[in-house]
Order: sequence, then structure tokens, then C-alpha cells
Amino acid sequence: MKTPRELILQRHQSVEPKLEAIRGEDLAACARATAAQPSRQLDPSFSLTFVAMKFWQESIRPWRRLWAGMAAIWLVLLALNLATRETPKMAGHQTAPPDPEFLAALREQQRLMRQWLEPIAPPPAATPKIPGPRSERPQTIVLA
Amino acid sequence: MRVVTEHERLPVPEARSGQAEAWNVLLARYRLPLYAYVFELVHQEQTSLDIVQETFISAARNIGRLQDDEKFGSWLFSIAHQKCVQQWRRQYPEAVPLDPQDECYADIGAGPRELLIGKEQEAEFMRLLDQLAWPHRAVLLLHFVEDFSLDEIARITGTPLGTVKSRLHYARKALKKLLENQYENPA
Repeated sequence: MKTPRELILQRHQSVEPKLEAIRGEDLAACARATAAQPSRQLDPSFSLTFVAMKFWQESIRPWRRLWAGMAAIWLVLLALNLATRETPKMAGHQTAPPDPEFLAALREQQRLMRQWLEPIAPPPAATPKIPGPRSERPQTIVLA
Repeated sequence: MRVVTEHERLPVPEARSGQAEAWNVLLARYRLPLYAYVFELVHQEQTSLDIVQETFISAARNIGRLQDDEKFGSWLFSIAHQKCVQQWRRQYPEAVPLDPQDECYADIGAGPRELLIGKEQEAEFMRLLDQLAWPHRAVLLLHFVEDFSLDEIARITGTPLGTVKSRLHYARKALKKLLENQYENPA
């Protein structure tokens, strides 16, 4: 007679050698590594200046020539980009001289349009003359 | 490698401070029960091995957050359980949710050590275990393999205590029925 626990564990006994691949040393190293992380975060010297210094020391300084080279490449690319952007602008300003025949046709069109529109336009309405106040009217006294 | 007995203190503080020997003790104590639990849920050897390994790595990374050292076992199983749920959802994305709240509250009956299975019932017991629905199987395995309390099982599986009680009751009832049938109609 066996308890369910004994029965279930017995069923998987054969996999034990494969499970031995998980090593305590690796787990201990993992625990140590993560234990070190929070203390670094809680360090009072942890500030923006500290981060900037750390970044400079660890990321920029060891490869300063590489960074300088990359910056130079970027500057060249920027300059090239600006130079190529100006070319279409210049091309846009150089417009071809207008064709005299085209201009004549355009003027003719405009003249015809004015002619057609003139009769349609209502004549200016005659504004009725409204007399001003009696007091402001000039009083002409005719003397006999 | 030293193996801890059931009532011996687990070297959790030593493991927290990164002692390899302490981790070896914890591995020796938990790797097979953890594998058995995971395999009975996942039913794939390689996936189960991966989950057990990932569980221990996750435990090593997060052991600093464990408040109560006595709860190391249930904490470890809860990590494994979450990974099993993730695996299950990847495997069966269209399946029904794992937490049906459809059962009634009931007394769970005798403890796992009081239940004894005869040699002729072993295969039938394992077959029944496989037939149980995922949530019932998880609860029953935690109860049988590690004898976790109901509170601990609720914490591990992330389900309410009442649901754990009813699931355990259902699973044990089905098991009892099987064993009674075996006694009444021996092959």
C-alpha cells in the first residue's frame, strides 16, 4: 500500500538524472547577483550626476574615437542632406519666360469674360434722396 | 549532498545569501515533487523540465522578496503554477477559463497520508488523476504531493478558499468512488 504522494513521485523517479542538470551553484550565483542589485539602487549617491558620470565613464570614454568618428559621419550626412534639399528649391525659382502667344490668348480670354459679364451685372440702383432733418436744411429766404 | 527531513528547517536564509550548498539542499528537497506536479498538469516531459528549471531560476532571483521562510515550499509551487497556467494558455488559447466558480462548499475529509492505494489500484488512480479537470487536478496534486493546507493551495493557485475546498471535495469524492468500486468489484 502506498500513499498518493509516494505513488506520484515514484511515477517520475526516472527523470531524476535530468533534473540534476539544475545546479545549486548556478542558482546561488543568480541569488547573489540579484541580491547585489537592490543595494546599488538604494545607494544614496545614486543621482543624475552619478548616472551621467557612470555613462560617460562606461559608455563614452572607452570608445571616444568611435563616438567621434560616428559624430563626424553624422555631420557629413547632415551636410549632404541640407545640400540636396536646396537643389529643388533653386530649380523651383528658375521659371521659364512666359510665352507671348499664351499671354495674348490669356488677355483675350479675360477681355471676353469682362464683356460677357458686363450686361449681367445689375446697374447701380439709384439711391433715393432722403431729405435731412428740417433743422439742418439750408434756409433760403427770398426777399422780394 | 545533504537531504532535509520533513521537519528539519530549510536553509532559506543561507540560500538567500547565495550559498550553493543551501540551494543544493532545496533542489534535493523540491525538484522531484515540483516536476511531478508540473508534469501531471502539462503532460510533456521537456516542457516540464523547462518549467522546473525556470521556476528555480525565478526563485533564486526573487528570494529576497520572500517574507516568510517557512512558506518557501508554497511560494516555489506558486511560481511553478503560474508558469503552468501560462503554458496551458499558450497550448489551449481557445479553452475555457481555469477558474470556474461553479462548485459548492464542502468538507474535504481525511488527509492525504490517511489515504492508501493498493498495488492493483495504482494504475487506476493515475488514470483518474489524468481524467480530472485541470483546476481539480492542480488542487488534488498540491494536496497529495506536498500536503499543503487549504490556505496555501488557495495562495498557490490564486483562487478563493471556498473554491479550493469545493474542488478538493469534488476530486476526493471521485477518487473515493473509484476506490470503493475497486473494493466492491475486484478484478
